[in-house]
Amino acid sequence: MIRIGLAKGRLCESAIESFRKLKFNEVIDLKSRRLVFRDDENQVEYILLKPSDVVTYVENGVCDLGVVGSDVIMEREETVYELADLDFGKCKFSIATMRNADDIMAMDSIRVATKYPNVARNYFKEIGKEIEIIPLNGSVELAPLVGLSDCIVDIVETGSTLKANNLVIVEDMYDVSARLICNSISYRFYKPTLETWVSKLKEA
Amino acid sequence: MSYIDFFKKRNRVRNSILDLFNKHMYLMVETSYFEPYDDFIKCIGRTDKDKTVKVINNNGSIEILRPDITFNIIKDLSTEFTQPLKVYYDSTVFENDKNGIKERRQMGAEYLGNMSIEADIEMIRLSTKVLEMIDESVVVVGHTRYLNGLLKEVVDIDIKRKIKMMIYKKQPQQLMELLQTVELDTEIKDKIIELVEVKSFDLETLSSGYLNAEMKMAISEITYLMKAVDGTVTYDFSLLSKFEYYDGIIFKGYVKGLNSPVIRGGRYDKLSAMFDNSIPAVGFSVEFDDLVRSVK
Repeated sequence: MIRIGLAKGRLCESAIESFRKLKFNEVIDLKSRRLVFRDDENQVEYILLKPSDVVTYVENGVCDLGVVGSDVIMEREETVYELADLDFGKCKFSIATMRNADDIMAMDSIRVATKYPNVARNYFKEIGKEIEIIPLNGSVELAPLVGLSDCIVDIVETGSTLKANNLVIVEDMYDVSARLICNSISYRFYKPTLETWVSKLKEA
Repeated sequence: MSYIDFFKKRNRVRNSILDLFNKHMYLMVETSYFEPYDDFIKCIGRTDKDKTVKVINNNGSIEILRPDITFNIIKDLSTEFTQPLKVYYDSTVFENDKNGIKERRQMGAEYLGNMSIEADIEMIRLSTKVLEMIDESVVVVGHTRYLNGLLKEVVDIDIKRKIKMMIYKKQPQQLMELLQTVELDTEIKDKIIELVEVKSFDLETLSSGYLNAEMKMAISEITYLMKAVDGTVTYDFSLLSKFEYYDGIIFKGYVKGLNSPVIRGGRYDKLSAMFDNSIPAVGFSVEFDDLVRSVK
């Protein structure tokens, strides 16, 4: 039995769509409130999880595989193998600030509000800028508006949330997309199976 | 499991490993619990220094509780090493992690003074024997020289470290993005990317694709091994070890259901140079507590 953790939210439906390529039974019912779905015939079990928990479940080997955005993988910095870029859930990590703000990149120390403290810390360290991280759990767009921070670091899909809050992108940081991740030990035991799965999932 | 049952099982597993080492004429050795901190930091590529457990002695100097056994064995032997020697140990190592000081029981074997591949083969065979008591296990064998040969033309140490990290974590996307910024032959880049693809080990293709003597050596040693070793062994040139003193064959033993390797081993001929000696060596350690947990 191979157990797969799927991230609930923006990626879930696309993940299910993508897994159709493997021609398994369609056992997942997103309308129900159940979190575990089994396909006995193909020896697969799906678990719906909070995105950041997918990495934890896979890292600990409770799930063999997982589908989750690379934003979460980058933030968590755990050792999970990335088997494939699934080519959906595409967006960008960007730095954004108020439309009429001063040039924040010229500041001595920048206050950065974000749900991704590790990603932000690493990026600014690499470009040699000093920052102060203000970790938040949601509605980061609010932070510059109320003077909590000079800018935000977040994933940007269409940019409409930024626009609605009068924010503009200062700089794009990294591309983000959905990945198929694997527990490093499970990888050793299911390699032939995974080889077929990955090649099918990569088919357009 | 009750206290009694637990220790009965633990003793049974321990005895079967002791029997195995004794049967193959290995000599049991003991080492000191302590190492001077100054010696420890001189040797790069061992345990992360933040993870060592420090103690202060009466003179105010810092010592660490041994994070592994191999290092002290080589140190003890380096002054009087004359002939090939097979040793084993059954001892506790110490590590600091976020939950406090961790004591781990390690058993392991070292084959010293034999630079031939037969010693490597013996070590891999012994590790498969240790894992025989578990239903689902596998030993994965790799070779450090393949990747080191492949990355020979990468001069920037920082980039080299990043590439190795991405291979260790199998991150194809990040690796591709990084390689785009590095000046290297496309052939080399393709071979680096190949290492993180989900593909079975294809010796035939690899054999015709080496780029230098180091890679060739890795391929020919693995070719030889594949013929000599049977059992549940697979091969993988993307296998990497955190211990940078490994040079040559490396291997790890995995058990289904555990989230870290239960066996780690490899060839480390250069470690003894730290003590002004040259002792060819290959060995492995077993995470004994993890092994006991996974035996039914």
